Amino acid sequence: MKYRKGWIVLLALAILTPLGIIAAGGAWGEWDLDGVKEHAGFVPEGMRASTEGTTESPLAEYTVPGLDKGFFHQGLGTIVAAILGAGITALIAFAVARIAKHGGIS
Amino acid sequence: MHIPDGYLSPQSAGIFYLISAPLWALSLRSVRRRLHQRRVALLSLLSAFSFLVMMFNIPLPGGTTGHATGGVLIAILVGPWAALMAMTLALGVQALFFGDGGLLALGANAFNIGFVMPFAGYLVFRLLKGAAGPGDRRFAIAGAAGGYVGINVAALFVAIELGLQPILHHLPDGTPLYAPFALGVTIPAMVLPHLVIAGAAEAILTGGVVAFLGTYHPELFEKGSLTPR
Repeated sequence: MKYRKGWIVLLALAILTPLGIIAAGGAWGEWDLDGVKEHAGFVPEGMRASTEGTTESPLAEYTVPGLDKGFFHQGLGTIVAAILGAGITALIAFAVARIAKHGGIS
Repeated sequence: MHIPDGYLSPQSAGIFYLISAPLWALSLRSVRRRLHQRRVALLSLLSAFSFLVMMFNIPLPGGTTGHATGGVLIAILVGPWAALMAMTLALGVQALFFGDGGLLALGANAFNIGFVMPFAGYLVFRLLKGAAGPGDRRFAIAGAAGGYVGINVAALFVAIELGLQPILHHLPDGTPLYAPFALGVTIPAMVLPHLVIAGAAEAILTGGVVAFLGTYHPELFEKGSLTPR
C-alpha cells in the first residue's frame, strides 16, 4: 500500500479521537436553536424556519447509535465515527482525484 | 468555524455556492493537470487526515472549543488547489453524515476553510520560505507561520459573513432573521480565540509535520504553484 506509514498514523489518530471530544462546550456560533436562544436571547425567525423539518444525522456529534451510553461506549463510538468518516472521505477523495485524472476509477 | 444551516440566509448560502463552484472547477482542473498520478493516494490520505484533525477540539477562552484543520499543511504538500478538493470533501462528509456544518452552508464553509485558509496560508509560506528547502529550519517556520495566518484569516472571513447577516436580513423593526450577532460581536468572538489558541494549534501542526516530513521524507514536497496550469 502506498504511504503505508501515513495510513498507520491516521489509524493512530482515529484511535486517539476520544481525547478530542473531552473539551467542554462547542464552537462559537455553531449552536443548535437552544444554544442560539441562550446566547442571543431569542431564535431568529428565518433560522427557525430554515432548520424546520430537517432531521438530525444518525451520526450527529460523531456518535454512533447504540454506542452512546457510558464513558467507554462513547469513546468506542467516537472511534467508530472517526474511522467511518475518515474512510468515507478517503474513498471519495480517491475516486474524485482518480476520475479527474483518468476519466474513470479503474 | 463550520457554519451550520440557518445562520446564513438562503440567498447568502446560494451566493457562496456560486463563488465556490468555479473554484471547485479550477481545483479539478489543477488535480487533473498537476497532481502526479502517484500522488492521488496521498491526496486521499490527506483528505482523511484533515477529517480526523478536525475532531480534536481544544478548549478556547470563553468556554468554547476550536480545532486545527490541516488545510495549510495539505496546501504545502500537494498545492492549494488540491487542498481545496481535500478540504471540500472532508467538509462535505462532515456535513452529510455528522451534522457538522450545514449542507446549504457547504458552499460558504468550503470557501472559508477550503479556499481562504489554504491559499492565505500557502501564500505566507511561499513568501517566508525564500530559498529554503525541505529539512531547513526556515522551511518549517514558514509552514508554521502559514498555518497561523491561514486559520486566522479564515476565522475573520467567517466572522464577517456571520456579522453581515443582521445587516442584510432583518425584520422592519431591525430584528435579525438569521445569524443574530453584529460585526462588533462576531469579529472578536471568532478572531481572538483563533489568534491565541487555535492559530497556535494550526501553527504547531503545520510546522511540526513540515519539519518532520522535510527531514525524513523531503521527496513529498513538490514545487507547488498558485495557478492551476
